[in-house]
Amino acid sequence: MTRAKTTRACFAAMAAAGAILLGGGAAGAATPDDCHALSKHGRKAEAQTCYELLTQARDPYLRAEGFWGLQMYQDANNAFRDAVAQSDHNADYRVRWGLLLHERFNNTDAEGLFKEALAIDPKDAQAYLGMALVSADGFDNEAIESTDRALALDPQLVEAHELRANLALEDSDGAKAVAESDEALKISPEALNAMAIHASVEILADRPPDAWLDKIRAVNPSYGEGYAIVAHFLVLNFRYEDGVAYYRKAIQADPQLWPARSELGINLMRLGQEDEPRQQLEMCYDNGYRNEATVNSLRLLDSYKNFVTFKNQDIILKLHKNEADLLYPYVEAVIQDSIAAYEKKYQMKLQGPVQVEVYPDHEDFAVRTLGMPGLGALGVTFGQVVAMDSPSARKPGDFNWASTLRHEMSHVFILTATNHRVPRWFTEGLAVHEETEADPEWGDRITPDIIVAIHEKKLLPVEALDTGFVRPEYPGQVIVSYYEAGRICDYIQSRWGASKLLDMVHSYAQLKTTPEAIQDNLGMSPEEFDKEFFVWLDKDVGKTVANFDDWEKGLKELVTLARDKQYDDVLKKGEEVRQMYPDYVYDANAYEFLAEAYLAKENKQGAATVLTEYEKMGGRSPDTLKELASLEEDLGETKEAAATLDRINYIDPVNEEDVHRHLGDLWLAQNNYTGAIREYGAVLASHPQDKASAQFNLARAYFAAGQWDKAEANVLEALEAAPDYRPAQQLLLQLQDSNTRK
Amino acid sequence: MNKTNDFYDSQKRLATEHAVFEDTGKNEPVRAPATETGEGLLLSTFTLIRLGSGRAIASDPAKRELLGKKEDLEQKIDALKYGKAAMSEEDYKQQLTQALVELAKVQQELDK
Repeated sequence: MTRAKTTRACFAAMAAAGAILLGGGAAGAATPDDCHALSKHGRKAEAQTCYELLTQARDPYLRAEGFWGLQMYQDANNAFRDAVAQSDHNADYRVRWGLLLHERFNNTDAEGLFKEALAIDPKDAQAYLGMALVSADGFDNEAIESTDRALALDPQLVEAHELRANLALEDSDGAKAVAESDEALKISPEALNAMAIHASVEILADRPPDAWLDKIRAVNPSYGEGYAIVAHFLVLNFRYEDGVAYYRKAIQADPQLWPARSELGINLMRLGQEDEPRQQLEMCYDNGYRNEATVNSLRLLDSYKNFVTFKNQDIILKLHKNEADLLYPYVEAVIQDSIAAYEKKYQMKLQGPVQVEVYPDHEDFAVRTLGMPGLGALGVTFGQVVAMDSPSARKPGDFNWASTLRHEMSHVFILTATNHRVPRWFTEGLAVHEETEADPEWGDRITPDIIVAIHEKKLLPVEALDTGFVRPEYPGQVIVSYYEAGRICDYIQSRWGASKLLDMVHSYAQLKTTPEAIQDNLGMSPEEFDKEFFVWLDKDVGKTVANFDDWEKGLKELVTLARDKQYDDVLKKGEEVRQMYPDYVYDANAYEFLAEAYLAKENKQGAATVLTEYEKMGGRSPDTLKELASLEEDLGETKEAAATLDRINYIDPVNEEDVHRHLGDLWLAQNNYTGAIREYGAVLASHPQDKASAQFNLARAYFAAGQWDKAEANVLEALEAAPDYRPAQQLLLQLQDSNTRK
Repeated sequence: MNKTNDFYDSQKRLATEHAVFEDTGKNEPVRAPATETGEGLLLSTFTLIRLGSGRAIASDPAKRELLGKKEDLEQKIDALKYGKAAMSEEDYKQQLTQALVELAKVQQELDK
């Protein structure tokens, strides 16, 4: 089960409760509806007896319902198979079977059964509801369409109204969520999930949800699903601790509510805990609740034995043991810089340390984002816990890890500053904005997908921007929404000053809505804001957008010219292409073709100049940056060469032993001893073949920095590995000479 | 040598030539000196041939004594390294430092 599975399980269970009435067989008077009604009212013992009766029926469908009610899922599955085999044209059995599979984490087969049901009966509203449940698990926009179809076919379908309310609230549309819940309650005054949505709306607005929770308890005192729905929305709105509290209430009401217990474990992990999550998740696993999130979270907990934890007053940093020594100095410095910068900027201090977890295996990181909306491709923040991909988790040049970390650290501060009451678009936008504030070369540049979205006028009004993150309507909309949100924050800063961004943070902390925050701080309506923002954006990137088709055509020609080694033409066309879309620093960019042509014409200065522009524009191919550093050295620009190599540390510090060594040499020659110590230390942490010379280089740097004891310790280690290593022997003798230390 | 071994291991190939040490008379040859059994420790210090400046120094009577001292120190350092596990860290460090400093001084004399 992914993300909203607890919530989905509730809606699926309620869909189950809307079962078809089928009598007959040896089950006497018991019908699935009778049993579901008992279950819905918390009359567990009677429900159990009722389901047991169903299991004795001759009709395999009734047996399936009985086994399902008794949580004997395999038997239920087998009985459904028999039921469908006996009644090949029965759409309802397929829908019920699909709902069982959906509940048991098999959305693929569930979807197949719903489609089969629709092939038999295109007007089967329950089948569309099933399709909606499957789509909703992945925050897929089709969930809304399928729900609409279900309701068009059967406006009295309570569970579809409840699901529509749920989807609306996921999209931060509280008013619609309330309206849909009320529709459900009009049809069925005991629509428990509709009541839970009402309670969620109240608690999200910081109003007491008690009246609605009392109503739920009046129908079913052990309806843990109600609390789980509230918890789901709290987590979705970054209120992880509150969410955990409600998951606890859920399992207190119903200790066997495994989806809620699993979510409790997962969210405790997100808060940086290990012992209780393991206990909760193992309990789920041992009781047969083995969905992807539960199993993978347990695997992640097992993998923690391979991590090293560094702690100080401000930071808890977890790094994989294979790269811990190498990464620590770089990661720790970026965290400390971020804390210092944000404390000043946001005028606040964090309470307690920030925990940063860096995963070299992307799958370990991905476990953290299971069931969460949005991209979460590189990093994710849960309050004061940050999880992110290690630079070694991806192809070198894929991302700038320092920029990602700076982004996530912004979330830590903004979530804290707003007491976790901040819309997704604003915290993401501010985090994107902060990346380039930290360094203009950081952050992602406008991509072709974003240009197309702008050209097709697909950017969203600010008031609706959250939906672009939660429920994208087209592939790539999440990325487009990140870009748009970031640019909105750039615009606010450029027009009104950085203080207005801080004022907006304070507005959200005071529970203001986006329209209120914009009106109060910027003095205009969201509609006016959109209008003026789009004008500003057009001035900034309109030319690039307008040039896009010509750029695409020009780039193709450039590729052909470069392939044919027509370097004079490459220089001419390359410059045209570059100017049409200067932000394009991704694969097959004009900068690299131009540099290649300059080098072919033995013009090192020309190549260095164009690659410097690439670098300033945020180009991050380690190989290209190494080429630039080499050119800079050839041109006698050793300081620039060192700065270029240092940039690679923020992209790929893991696979670049030679870069560390060479940067150490350059910095040692430039009297940057601190830098040289870090770089030679990185060589050593890379487990080089020639450990003796790595240790000796580190000793040299410490010696130059006047850190005699560390110099001696390292030179002795070098000589332990290679006792006859002459330069190390000479350094040892220098260190032994008491005059040296004066 | 480890890289070579790794190659043959990873390729599941049989190395056609592989020298081994057997210097304890136990008929248990090893490919690398083994501190656990002592096998190979003696032979690993045996000089087969001196090349370059080493040969020149060996033929200089004035430096022959220093060369002997150097070889003694190298053997002492090897012995220390092999016996590291049985020593306290402090004792090991102290003796190793002393031997390495002496070796560096001897080398300095030899290089004059």
